[in-house]
Amino acid sequence: MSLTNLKTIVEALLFVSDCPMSPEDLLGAFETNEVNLDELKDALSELTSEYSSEDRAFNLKEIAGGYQFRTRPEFSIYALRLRKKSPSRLSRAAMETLAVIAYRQPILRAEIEKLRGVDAGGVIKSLMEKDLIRIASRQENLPGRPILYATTAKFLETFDLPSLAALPTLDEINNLSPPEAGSLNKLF
Amino acid sequence: MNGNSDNLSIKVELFEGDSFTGPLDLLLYLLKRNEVDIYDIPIGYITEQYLEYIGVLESLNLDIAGDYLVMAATLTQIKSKMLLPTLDESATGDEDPREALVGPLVEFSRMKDAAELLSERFILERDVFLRGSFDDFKDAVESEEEILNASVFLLMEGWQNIITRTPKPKFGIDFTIESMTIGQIIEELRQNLLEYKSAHFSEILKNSKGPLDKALGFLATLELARTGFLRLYQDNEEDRSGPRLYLANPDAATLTEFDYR
Repeated sequence: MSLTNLKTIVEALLFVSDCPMSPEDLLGAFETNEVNLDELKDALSELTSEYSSEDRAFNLKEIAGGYQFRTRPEFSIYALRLRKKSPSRLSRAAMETLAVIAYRQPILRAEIEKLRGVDAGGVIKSLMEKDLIRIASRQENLPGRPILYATTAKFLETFDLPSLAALPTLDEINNLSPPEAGSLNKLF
Repeated sequence: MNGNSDNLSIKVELFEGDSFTGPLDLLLYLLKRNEVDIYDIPIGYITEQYLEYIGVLESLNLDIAGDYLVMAATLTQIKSKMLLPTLDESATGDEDPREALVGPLVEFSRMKDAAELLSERFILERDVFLRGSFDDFKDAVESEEEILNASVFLLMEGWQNIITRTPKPKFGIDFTIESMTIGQIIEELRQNLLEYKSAHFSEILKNSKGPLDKALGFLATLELARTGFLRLYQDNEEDRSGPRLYLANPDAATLTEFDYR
């Protein structure tokens, strides 16, 4: 199968799909030995660059370990007008909590509250309802085996992230003057 | 408020900004506003301002979240520690008591920045869309209304707006009649809404004179909302001017039957 041919098939599959498709997912559409993973990955990366270079209405984005078509942000104003549902907004408290969980996961509720200095129960509940965070596991070596929280695939999808590794590193955003050596580690 | 009008400036200033997500957020705001170094906090000055803010909250008779009081206690403790001479220089004498604050503040500040970065990304269904985003287009059903997630600061801010602003309303309750009962105010609000169908909350307080009148107008609104006579609707969290009142059920129980005095 030629690459052009494969690219078109992959494009069709991505068009049909409701969720981000990984090369592994796409492999299921082909017969045994018809294509291999590397060929699929090549097709995906070519498609990605074609969509980003041409004057298209949407991009092929790598999201949550898969690939997905998304409209370009410059058209959001039109899309929002036609939509009935208003975009769901997260409060600043919810965004802060989500950031803490994203960067420190898996994390206990007590740790979140210590970091933010306020009770986090209500915010955690609402983030769970929005399916942005999940219960990852339990801290077995602590009394009562408290819950450890982590982000979900929907978190990656919502915030346009290929993976957790793609989160901006905290050092990049730390614009505070550096602490004197050893002065900060007492509490953490 | 004990005639403490100095508080007003800090009030107004604080209300202008976004509300705070917690004591660390408030503390960080005070540090930034005073342009001081997070690693060398002028603890006396900052503590004073922090306590002043808490005082403003108390003067408005609002419940202050316990977390804010814990921070107030911590600040005061650090302040007093720094004032006391160290007796035993050899032991922990050279330890700066402010260090207990710096760690959490720096960490919180980073998380705040991280939250900011996340908000700036191309967020699904706000900036970018997938096929199927208009799946509700043909439905006649109105969009699901979110319950406003309001904090005590939002309430304070709303109250502050009502107290300080002079709205330019079309109509409103006539508060000039002396010793109006809450029952009479409710009746007047009813008549107004029956005529105009909807009104902004600021409008109904047109002729109110002092905080008491405003509180009565507020109570009348709540009472009529409770009976289902009117519905309160506020667009979103950013609309800080207060809710709009809509006539919902004109046949809701006639309130003047009761004595609200």
